[in-house]
Amino acid sequence: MAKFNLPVNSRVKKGKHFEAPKEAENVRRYIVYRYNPDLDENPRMDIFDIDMDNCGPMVLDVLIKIKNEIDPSLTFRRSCREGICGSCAMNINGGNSLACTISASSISGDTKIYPLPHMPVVKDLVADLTHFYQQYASIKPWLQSKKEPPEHKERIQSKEEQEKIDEPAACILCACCSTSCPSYWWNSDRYLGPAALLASYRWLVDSRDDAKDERLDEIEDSFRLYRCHTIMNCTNTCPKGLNPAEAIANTKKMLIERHSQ
Amino acid sequence: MKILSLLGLVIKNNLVEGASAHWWSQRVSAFFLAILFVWFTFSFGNIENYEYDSVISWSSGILNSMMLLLLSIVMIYHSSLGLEVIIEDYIHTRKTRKYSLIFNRVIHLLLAVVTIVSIFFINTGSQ
Repeated sequence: MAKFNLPVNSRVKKGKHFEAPKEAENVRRYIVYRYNPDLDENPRMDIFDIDMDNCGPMVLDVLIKIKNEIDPSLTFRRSCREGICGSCAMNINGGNSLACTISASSISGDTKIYPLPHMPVVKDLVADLTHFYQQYASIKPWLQSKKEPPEHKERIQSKEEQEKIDEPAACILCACCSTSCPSYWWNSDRYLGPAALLASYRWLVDSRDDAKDERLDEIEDSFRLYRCHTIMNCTNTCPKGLNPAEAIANTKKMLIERHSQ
Repeated sequence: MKILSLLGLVIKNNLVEGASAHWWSQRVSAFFLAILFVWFTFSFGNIENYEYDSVISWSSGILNSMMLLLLSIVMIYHSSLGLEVIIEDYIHTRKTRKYSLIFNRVIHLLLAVVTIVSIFFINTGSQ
């Protein structure tokens, strides 16, 4: 059965409180999930009061300030700082997003930061994405063409053909969509999730790819594809403004059309 | 999707197999359910008063009883498909899931039989 309670050793407790310097005037409170697998302790929520006059504008800047100046043990992924790499995906005030693209001032009141939901936690804000990447690999995200490539030339596409893959190809695999999907929470062992299905769709609509039937055969499964119940959390949360729900719906249509041919 | 191509696919529904069949059957039954509920709302809404005899008289007409039968069967079928998805979503133990799915089908089958028999009795005036 689905589990509705956290196991005893996963229940989140109150953590430490780091106050802002006394002279600070513009203070914001950040409540951050902490978990260290090396310590035999439950996860906790640490409170950091941050002087925003001496901090960068984004939530990622706040985390970097905490790590550099307050608690160097705080662990999170980050790289590009401009919404391209997807490394700093986390749950900020209840919604999955990239910490580098969320402005600290856009949030009113306290800010609660958790790792991506329903994933095993490696440490603090770092979720284990191994299974997520395996699912992405399972859809064979590369060109499968039966034709020989033209000599010394690229495989030509029309502008219209290219436009079909523009949006799905813009996915940065941050996992915000998949980890916001309740269906993925309950059945991630068998359901591919919106990110992998969006990537699959990207190849299904690629005019240069010749493995459409094989790709459809592979995902035509009551769990791999049809666990999507069009909840739309994926589309709501995508920090790149993509629409995985539409891509999944189009994939289902492709399957029905293929059956009716 | 254009309405004509959708209807074309409805006709070819029996060709949809495998995992897609379940999803497609849900959509097709929902489509018919929407139409049948429009009929039901207007037809049932036009009964003069809702006393026992009026409702029995309404439901014993040949057209109304046929439509009511169709509505009930499609509704029970749609409900069975929906509950199947919920069971698959939330029950992860293989054995429990298998028996829950069988139980779901049996209950819906019984419901369908009771509905058909009831409408038949109403239509023939039997008690």
